[in-house]
Amino acid sequence: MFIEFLSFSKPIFQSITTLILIVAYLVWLERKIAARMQSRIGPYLVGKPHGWLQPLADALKLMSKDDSKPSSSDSLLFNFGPIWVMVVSLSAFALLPFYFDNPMINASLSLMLFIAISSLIIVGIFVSGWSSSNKYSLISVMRSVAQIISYEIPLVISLLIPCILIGSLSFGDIIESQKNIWFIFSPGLGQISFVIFFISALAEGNRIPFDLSEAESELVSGYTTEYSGIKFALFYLAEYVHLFGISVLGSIIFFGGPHGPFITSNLIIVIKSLVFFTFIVFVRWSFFRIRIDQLLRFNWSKLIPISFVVLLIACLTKYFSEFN
Amino acid sequence: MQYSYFLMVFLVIVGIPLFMILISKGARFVINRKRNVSDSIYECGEPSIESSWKQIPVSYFKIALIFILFDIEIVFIFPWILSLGNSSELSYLSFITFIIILFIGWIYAYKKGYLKWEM
Repeated sequence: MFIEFLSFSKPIFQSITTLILIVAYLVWLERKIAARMQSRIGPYLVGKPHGWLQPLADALKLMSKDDSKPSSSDSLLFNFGPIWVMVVSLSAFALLPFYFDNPMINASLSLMLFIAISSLIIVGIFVSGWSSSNKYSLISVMRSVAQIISYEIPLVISLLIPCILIGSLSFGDIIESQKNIWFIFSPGLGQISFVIFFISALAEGNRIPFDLSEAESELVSGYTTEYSGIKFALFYLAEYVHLFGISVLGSIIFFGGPHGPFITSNLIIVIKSLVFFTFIVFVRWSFFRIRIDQLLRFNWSKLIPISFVVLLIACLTKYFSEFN
Repeated sequence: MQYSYFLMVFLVIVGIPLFMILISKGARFVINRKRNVSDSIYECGEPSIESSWKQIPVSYFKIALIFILFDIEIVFIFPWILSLGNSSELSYLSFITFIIILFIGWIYAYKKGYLKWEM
């Protein structure tokens, strides 16, 4: 039984180890794009063509930094926060049919499991901000919790709309049903639910129009203010893992997953999610930050009623397609 | 897929000690380790006054309470989708009724002003 379990979980561990490498280079990619958008060069010196060794250098630097901890902080929770964030965001990735033939895609509840696990990140963020006994961190995590739990509702509803039309929650069925036409091209419902998904995905990933928890001008560095060295590196990596997970999710649910225009391959998921990630980076470097009250009011008084109406329309569409 | 859900537990159980070792061994690379002023809260700024574990605006708690309501609603949608394969007209009707009742709840909260942000 143990051998069977090992052979079952091997592709998942493979994809997680590749994932860490990909995510390290996502940081480099974001810095490059940001530099180009601001007419700079970006990382250039470490590694000759375009600084390709920069992620390695960053990791080594962060590992050799002094590991400081405020004396009045809650020591156990302070150390537990970054570990929890990293473990949860990596294990959520085991569910995505990404890069290798993942056996988890045929689990009948894989989408629900992904949502459930990836929303546990907020526990780690809250614990780390609260335990570092810094007022900036505390304000930051309170904002972060309010923001992430609020935007989870439209996010989940927009992900459920294709599931209602298909009638299944497993990634395998969702990918299979988009063989001929991607969900983004289905008239009306596809576009509206993608817009809802994109807005709330930006908020879930703490990206710029909604990065209230790391507002530099008011909260120094948010919940990572007291962290340094390897713990800070874990937070930083986990943020990008989470973001890449969201872009893979978007490319599976709305852009057909491995079904390309001509060929069907797992590499196409990676390409699509890199394009999605690049789009998120463009949004980050061209927008401003909005206030916390505007953020929450926009969610509760606009996004949620709109997503409810779209949910009703999807339900009626399914009803008429089944009984007429 | 008998291992599907067990695997997630396994990943967390393996992952947490792994990163614990990474964090504790990572400190060994540090060469010159000094303990002085860097132990204070927000060391590069003003010394902080009193403890930071204080009261928090009540608006955050209101948002959290309303979130629980809507999150339970989302939990009810998942089994409904799974049962769509052999569903009758009644199941659609009851789902639409459920959503409409919930929407009335949203209208109530909106009119009462709970969704507005006030300090």
